[in-house]
Amino acid sequence: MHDPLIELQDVSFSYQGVPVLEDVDLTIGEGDFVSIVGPNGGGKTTLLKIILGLIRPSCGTVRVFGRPPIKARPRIGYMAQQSTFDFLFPVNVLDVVLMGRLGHGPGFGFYSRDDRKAAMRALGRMEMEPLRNRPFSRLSGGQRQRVLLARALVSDPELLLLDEPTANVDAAIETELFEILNELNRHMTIMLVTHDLGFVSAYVRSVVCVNRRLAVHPTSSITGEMIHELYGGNVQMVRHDHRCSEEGHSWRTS
Amino acid sequence: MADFIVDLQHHSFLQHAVIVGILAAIPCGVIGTYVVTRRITYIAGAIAHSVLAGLGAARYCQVVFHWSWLHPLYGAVAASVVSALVIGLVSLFARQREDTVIGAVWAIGMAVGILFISRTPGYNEDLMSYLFGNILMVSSEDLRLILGLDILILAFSLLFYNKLLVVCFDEEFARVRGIRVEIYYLLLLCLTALTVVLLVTVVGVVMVIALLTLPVAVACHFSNRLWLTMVLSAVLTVFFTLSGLALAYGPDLPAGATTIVLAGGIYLLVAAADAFRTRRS
Repeated sequence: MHDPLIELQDVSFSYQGVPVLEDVDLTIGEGDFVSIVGPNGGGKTTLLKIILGLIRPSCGTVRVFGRPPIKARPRIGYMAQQSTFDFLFPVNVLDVVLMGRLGHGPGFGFYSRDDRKAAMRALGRMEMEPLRNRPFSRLSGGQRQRVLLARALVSDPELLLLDEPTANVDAAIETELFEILNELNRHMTIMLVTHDLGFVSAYVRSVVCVNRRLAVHPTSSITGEMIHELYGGNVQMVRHDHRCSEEGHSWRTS
Repeated sequence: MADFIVDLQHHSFLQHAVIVGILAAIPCGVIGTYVVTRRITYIAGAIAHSVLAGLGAARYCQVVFHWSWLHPLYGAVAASVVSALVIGLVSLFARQREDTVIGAVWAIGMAVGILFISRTPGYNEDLMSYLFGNILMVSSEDLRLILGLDILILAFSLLFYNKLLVVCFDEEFARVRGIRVEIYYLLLLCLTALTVVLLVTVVGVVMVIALLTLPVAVACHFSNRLWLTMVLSAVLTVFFTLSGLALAYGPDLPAGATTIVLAGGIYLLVAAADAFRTRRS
């Protein structure tokens, strides 16, 4: 059994008096590949931001690598939602990837040769090296995802957190992205938010369902009732994964 | 135009004007690029107008209390930094509507300035030069202060280039990388404030945001990198300032206004050409 890498206990968060997350307990072990799913406004991104220490929960404790989230940040790679970027900003691909090297080395000055080497390696891993001088604004949705993923990886993180990496990309690119993530999962823990449950990749090992409260399932045991319970309506499910197991399925409420 | 070049060799006030034009233009291009890409033009506008409070207060103290050392530009520096910090801290920490605070600082700053100027005995002809700029009235004392501000602004914006870039492009990611986003945002606002003071001497309070943004808007059509946009903007600002000065000299036009009309005209031409080209392709 691996040590828990992320541990949330009795975490609640409310925004301007409206509860977003309530009594959340969550334990993620090293090497896991977790998908956070749930309806819009259900608290998926909030959960991710609490783990990153960008949001302080109203109550409860959060531990990442056994430490407070802010202390754990150097070991975390993070990729935000694409929609948050200003595409008129004058930066090219290499500029964006190099941002992931900040926080290393001294407080001011320019990027070192090592930083550039690491950025090129990360771009190479995403097969984006030839486009290193292309303006970020002139990339396709799929290329942008690869660049942002390269930026998240350039600091050699042990934990990778991705917010809706499959939004605005087509199914072929989504499949490709999950191939890459599966490869990365061999030596890094991955947690990602997907916009809906329709449906998680076969590579995902556990699913965290968030709709103010939280439930954890292994991928193999998700049923129509759970989706019904989560979304409160009839949702058609497409199954990609036909392996089944009995164990490990429990609602966590307190 | 020919008069300008001939007189430039004989009159030190013209030489001062050219030096100030160049000294103000370089940080203007650099900080203007941050201001435009981070979309804080209106914060720069509010800071510019609040500068009048500092100018007026310093002049009042000079005349009424005989504090001759208190040069109006010192007052401008103080007022600009205070208003930058007020806007910055309010938008970061208090849950207020940012644009309301910007508007308040903008108008209150001007009002305080006008009150001080109205209570200052004597003939206050330089009110006009504060509002609309008068690059020809720059003294050698001004020049030393301007040079000092120049070095300060350029040193900070070069030393923290990478951090300011990520804070402007992706604040949240910067925070995750352990960067103190609030501090760098306030630093950027303070650098903007100092740049605004430099520009007040060139084009005056009212037209500062034009000189801060128009060269960058032109440069953006030719650049996809932040540093290149800065270099191009600085070159363009030098060009606009000096051409404005030269064009205004012969027919005795206000140099600040000439500079802005020139910059605005070229911006419109470039934007129109770009729109035309995009439509054709």
